[in-house]
Amino acid sequence: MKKYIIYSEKNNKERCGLMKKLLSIGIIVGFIGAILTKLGNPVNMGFCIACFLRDIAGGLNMHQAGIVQYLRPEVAGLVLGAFIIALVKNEFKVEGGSAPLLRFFIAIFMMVGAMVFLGCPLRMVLRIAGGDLNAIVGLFGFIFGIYLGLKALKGGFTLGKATKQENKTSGYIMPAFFVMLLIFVVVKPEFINFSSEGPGSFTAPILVALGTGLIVGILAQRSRLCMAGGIRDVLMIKDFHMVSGFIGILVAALITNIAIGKFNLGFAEQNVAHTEHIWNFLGLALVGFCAILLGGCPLRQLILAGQGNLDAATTVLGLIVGGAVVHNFGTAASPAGVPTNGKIGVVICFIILAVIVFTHSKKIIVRRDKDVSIGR
Amino acid sequence: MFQLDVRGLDCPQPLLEFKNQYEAGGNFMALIDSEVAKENILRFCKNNKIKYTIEEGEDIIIKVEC
Repeated sequence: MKKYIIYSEKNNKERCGLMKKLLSIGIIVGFIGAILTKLGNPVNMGFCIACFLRDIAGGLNMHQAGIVQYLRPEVAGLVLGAFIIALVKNEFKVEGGSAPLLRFFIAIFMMVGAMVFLGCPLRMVLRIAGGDLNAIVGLFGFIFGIYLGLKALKGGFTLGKATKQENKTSGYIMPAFFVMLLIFVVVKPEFINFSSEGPGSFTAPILVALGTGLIVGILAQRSRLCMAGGIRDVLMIKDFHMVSGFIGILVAALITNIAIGKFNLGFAEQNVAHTEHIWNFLGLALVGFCAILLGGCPLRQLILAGQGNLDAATTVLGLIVGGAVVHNFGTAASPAGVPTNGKIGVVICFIILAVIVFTHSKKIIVRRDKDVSIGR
Repeated sequence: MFQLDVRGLDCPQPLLEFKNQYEAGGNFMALIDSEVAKENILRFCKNNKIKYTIEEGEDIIIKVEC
């Protein structure tokens, strides 16, 4: 057992170092996100966790929207990158069992929101960097959603505690699942769908996609990069450390987009985007809200799933099923706008989330030896 | 001493509980089981000049004695 005593002082040098580290990781992620569009991925969609998981759902034949079906190797790279580095750094911990069913459904709601906005928080940043002003409307929605989530947490909301699993087998399931998807991408069995047109047909070469995914997965695992986490820390404890990763992504992607001629400023005629401001706002508000309740944005959930977190794995499966649901139920937006089903879907998700938050705000978290009653 | 058990909780609940307990005052110890929660809490301590001791075993124990 290591034991040491620290008399804490505000150490500006250390803080700057940490922020620089996150900023540079953000810069690498942003650069990769932008350059992937040059290498074949859809414009402003170099990296989008929600879109890619939706594509995977389509590739696995879970929905029939022919233009968005591909088993994106980037996602497999993210999970496997996090898995490998977690093993190396001894952070591979198999734990879970905190409200799995609820997480599964909240993940579906998160996908409903993401597909009304058309992108996860990471794509929101990449869209802003591509000059898509609709994504700035989305950013305000995202911040609002995070604010709602923090209100819920402060009111005592919790999904409960995860427990350590003695048997590590379940921790390897998600990495194995994504290895299987990689094999499918290469072998192309007949039961796997590959889009021949639309966003799903815009793909970077498999090795490039996998490699960039691995790099981002490793960096994101080490830096704990989380799109929701940065804004959350600013709102909660006025800590700007994590948000520097966010800024790094934005700046690097912006510069890269300008350099490769993919920068197009404005609201109208953006790639895979629409201009219905209210729904861009509410869509990402729903994502932000869910991200705080679930303990991380879609990117972070993938990373956690890679490092053995079974609750995050459940969330990832919920996101994939959500990707199928939004197309099967016709709630996904398109450049033409948000369908009526999508608007109804977002409202219903908010209502159900409100019920979940109110019924789950039991104060069960803390155990104190002097305070015999459980909770506060 | 108050024992704050935040093991197994999702981010950012460990930090939130730690912050609430700190603001309530008094000595307490927090039981933590994840690196992320540890990093968040230590950063919070440093930013707010909170004195703490830390023991790292199977679980991480951070003690705050005001």
